[in-house]
Amino acid sequence: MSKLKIPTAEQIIKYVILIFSLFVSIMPVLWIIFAAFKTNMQIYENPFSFPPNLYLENFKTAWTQGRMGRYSLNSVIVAIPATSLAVFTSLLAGFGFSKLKFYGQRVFYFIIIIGLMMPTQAYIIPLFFTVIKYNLTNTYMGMILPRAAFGLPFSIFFANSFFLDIPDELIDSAKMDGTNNFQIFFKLMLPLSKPVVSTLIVLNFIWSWNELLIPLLFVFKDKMRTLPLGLMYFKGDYMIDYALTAAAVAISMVPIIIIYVIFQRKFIQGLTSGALKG
Amino acid sequence: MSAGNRNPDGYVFILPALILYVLFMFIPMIKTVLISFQDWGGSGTVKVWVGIDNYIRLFTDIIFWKAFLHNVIWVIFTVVVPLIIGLILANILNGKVKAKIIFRVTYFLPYILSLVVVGIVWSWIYNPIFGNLNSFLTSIGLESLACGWLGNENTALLSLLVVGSWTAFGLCMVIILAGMQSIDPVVYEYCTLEGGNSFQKFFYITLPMLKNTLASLILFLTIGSMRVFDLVYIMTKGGPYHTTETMATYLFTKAFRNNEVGYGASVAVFLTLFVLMISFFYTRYINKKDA
Amino acid sequence: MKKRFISMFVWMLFTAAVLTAGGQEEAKDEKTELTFWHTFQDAQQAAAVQEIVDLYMEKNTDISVEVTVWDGDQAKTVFGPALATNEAPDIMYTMSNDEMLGVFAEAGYVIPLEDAYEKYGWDDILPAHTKTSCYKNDRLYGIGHELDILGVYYNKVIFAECGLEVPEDYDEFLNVCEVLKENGYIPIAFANQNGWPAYHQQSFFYNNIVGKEQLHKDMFEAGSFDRPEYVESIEYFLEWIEKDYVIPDTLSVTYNDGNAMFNTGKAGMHTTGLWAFNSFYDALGDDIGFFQFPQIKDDKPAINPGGIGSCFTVTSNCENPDLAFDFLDFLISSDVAEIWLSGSIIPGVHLTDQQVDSYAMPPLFRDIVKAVNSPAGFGFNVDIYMTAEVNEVTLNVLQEAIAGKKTAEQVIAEIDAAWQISK
Repeated sequence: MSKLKIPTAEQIIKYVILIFSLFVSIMPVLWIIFAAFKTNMQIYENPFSFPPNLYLENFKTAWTQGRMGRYSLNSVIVAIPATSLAVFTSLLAGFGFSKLKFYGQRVFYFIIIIGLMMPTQAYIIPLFFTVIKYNLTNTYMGMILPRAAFGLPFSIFFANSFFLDIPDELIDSAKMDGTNNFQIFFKLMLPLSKPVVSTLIVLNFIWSWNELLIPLLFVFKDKMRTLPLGLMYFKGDYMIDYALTAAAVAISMVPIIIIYVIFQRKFIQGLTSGALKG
Repeated sequence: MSAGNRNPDGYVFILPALILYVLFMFIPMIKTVLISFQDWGGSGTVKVWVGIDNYIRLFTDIIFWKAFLHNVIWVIFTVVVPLIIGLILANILNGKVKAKIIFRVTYFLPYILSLVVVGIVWSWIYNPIFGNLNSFLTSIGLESLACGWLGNENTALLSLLVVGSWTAFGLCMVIILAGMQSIDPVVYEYCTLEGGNSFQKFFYITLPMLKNTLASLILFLTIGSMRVFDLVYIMTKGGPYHTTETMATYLFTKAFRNNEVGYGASVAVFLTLFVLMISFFYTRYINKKDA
Repeated sequence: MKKRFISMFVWMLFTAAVLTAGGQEEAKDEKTELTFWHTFQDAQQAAAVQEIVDLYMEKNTDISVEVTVWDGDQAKTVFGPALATNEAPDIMYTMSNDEMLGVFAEAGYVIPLEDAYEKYGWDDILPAHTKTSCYKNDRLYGIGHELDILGVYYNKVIFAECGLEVPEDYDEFLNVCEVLKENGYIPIAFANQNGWPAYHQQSFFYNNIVGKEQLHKDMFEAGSFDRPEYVESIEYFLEWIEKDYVIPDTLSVTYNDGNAMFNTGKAGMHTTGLWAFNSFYDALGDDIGFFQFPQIKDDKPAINPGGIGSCFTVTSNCENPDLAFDFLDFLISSDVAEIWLSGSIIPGVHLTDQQVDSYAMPPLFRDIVKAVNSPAGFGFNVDIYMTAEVNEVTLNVLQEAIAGKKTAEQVIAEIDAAWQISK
């Protein structure tokens, strides 16, 4: 059937809705990015517009004097280990819960699932004082370990659901060949778990990158701040340099956007296959 | 689970995760419960056991119940609105649309942004003096509607709810779309043969078959809405005068600003129990319907 | 497939490297170290502090002072818990109110300073009022610093344009507001989204209507705010809101944005303290003037709230208190007063007019410094002396009153209720 050249009313409405929603999604983000390339005067005159010329000073200042460079580095130093830890340990645990049998299995699983329901605020208060007591404040460890832990309930749940779906026969036949559980995990399960791994890596990375509460409470030395915290305190002294703040915000957003765009297909695939299982 | 003997290997597999979790989440959770029965001013000060005094105070604390109400409103608004928008968009994208991937990628974008970023961006939009919203309203002649969005008790909460929904509708769309795409097209074809139109297809085929997806999504969004903190803290800190206060911001203020850690802990316990309760009953309800 | 594992492996390596590398490395010097935390986050102010510190290290080459500058807001949340760790500094500059110094004193994080005062003779060079808010449970824990005075900054150019002169009394002040409003300017750049600017307006009226003496009695001798004069003070304040003399939608405008309105010539006056002086001066230079809050009642002389807000403390973590005292003695001495003043910070040490005249500073600032050092003195900056509970209630209830939800009577009733419980 050949396509009609003139769109139907239904089609027009559909595209209008889609494009309007596109506008709503992205315009706020674009406005800030535009502002980052303008001077304060230009922002004042015309807040919405595309920058007349690409003014780069804001980025330079934000990165150096504004210490955004330092904050970004800290965010990376925290995010990568936190993500690796969370993903690796939850893959291990997911396999353990789904494919192996041991006493107290259900109890442990339940204890971990409670973590899905618990709001962060439920445990942040004592954790705060514990971190202080063990002098983990202002350390990378102090940010990495809790952040990895926080990602565990969902990651384990997700990995568990995924492994449950892998047919037992696969494992049984491997066992009959004499491989032990560890070899099964590393040689058989891991390669199969590509979809979940992508999703878990991206999710945990995003959570870690955007984490505010942990650095807010555990870090008070400026040189250890991560991006969200640095951004929150990025204000001029009793005056706001809007252009500079915009540049700082843009710097914060870009890494995440890039990672998301690169991984988005695998990520959404993995996310939705897990979600469909509920 | 494969039939077989119990195997201590299992413990090794779950151990690393379990240790991390117990140390940084589970033990603190228990401690929170303990602290909620104490009166504590924070580091260095004395802890005094006061039994259920904090909880008694909680039940008569107007501000706390206001915060609770705001959470309920938050749940209703930021679950329903993104869900509906997500359904509409997913439905459209499920059909013949060009450049689907652009839409999919951009709609999801607000969800992955840091809430600090979201807070800053939207605070600018809502700024009464030079913000985009008021400028826009003025330029189309609706100057009378322009007001101080985040400082006016009548508009503050609503303004925040809009932002909350903005971050979530893309997530809903993506998940619902995936759910839709797993519905066998044969069913739709059959319906067309029987003379069904778009509306009927949507309400009698699509929606019912999305039940599980929607159920999970609703639960996920609800839990998130009960816990909302970052956005409120950054944009209004619960103000003006507690009109945007949520249980999480209230908890934070009490424990970390007012040095009333015990009381803050009791708010945390209440919040947790409430979320657990909702999750429990909701899951039971959904499973019952299935059977 | 291999690629994935290689990249995962690299991540693991990176993780392992970071986890084993630990947090920070501190270079260990031969010198004795003192750690000093302060909240002078303004660039100019921070530079002045560093200059003084550098001077001290020049004179004492065997001592190295490590300075950390803090955001004032984060300090409120974090200073307390930080003091419980072994990372606590030796010397800490903190607010002397109930929530900060009060808590630290009670927890034993800071040490009493009476002996140091005697040994170094600080009572001879510091006016008595710098100590008032540093007493907790009858022990002295801080050295007051950073004198402030709340007053009225005004834009001379705008005043000239509208044919206005500095008001001599409150009726004239209201007239000035009216004229500014008619000419399309915002009379007073009061923006209250943050909540605390309202404290200062409240202090203006309390001091000028209730009077310093009565206010002193009610605050320090555990009196009551349940008096008609307090209600009247709030009513006078609310009159500004009713007559639209402040920034429109004031509850939605942040303090920073309010300053921006003043700095970009949209507002005629700004009733606030010295801490933002640098931003005003950088923007408007000699176009700004300053006058004291005008007299309201015939029987109560005009008086501006002022005094110290913060103080230097020595923490119990300090291994060498005598060294800390020596450093502080240098910090507060009149030798370095000029450097403090160059950063627009008025030190606590008493200065004669001649001394003030001899230092280089903008003329406007000079007037303010002299006003602060004059015998007439100043009134009380109420929120410094109030408990955390009272301040919390005050903040919210004033916002409600500004929004028209509560009357002046209700405001005072609630504030007094909180005061009676928590004093």
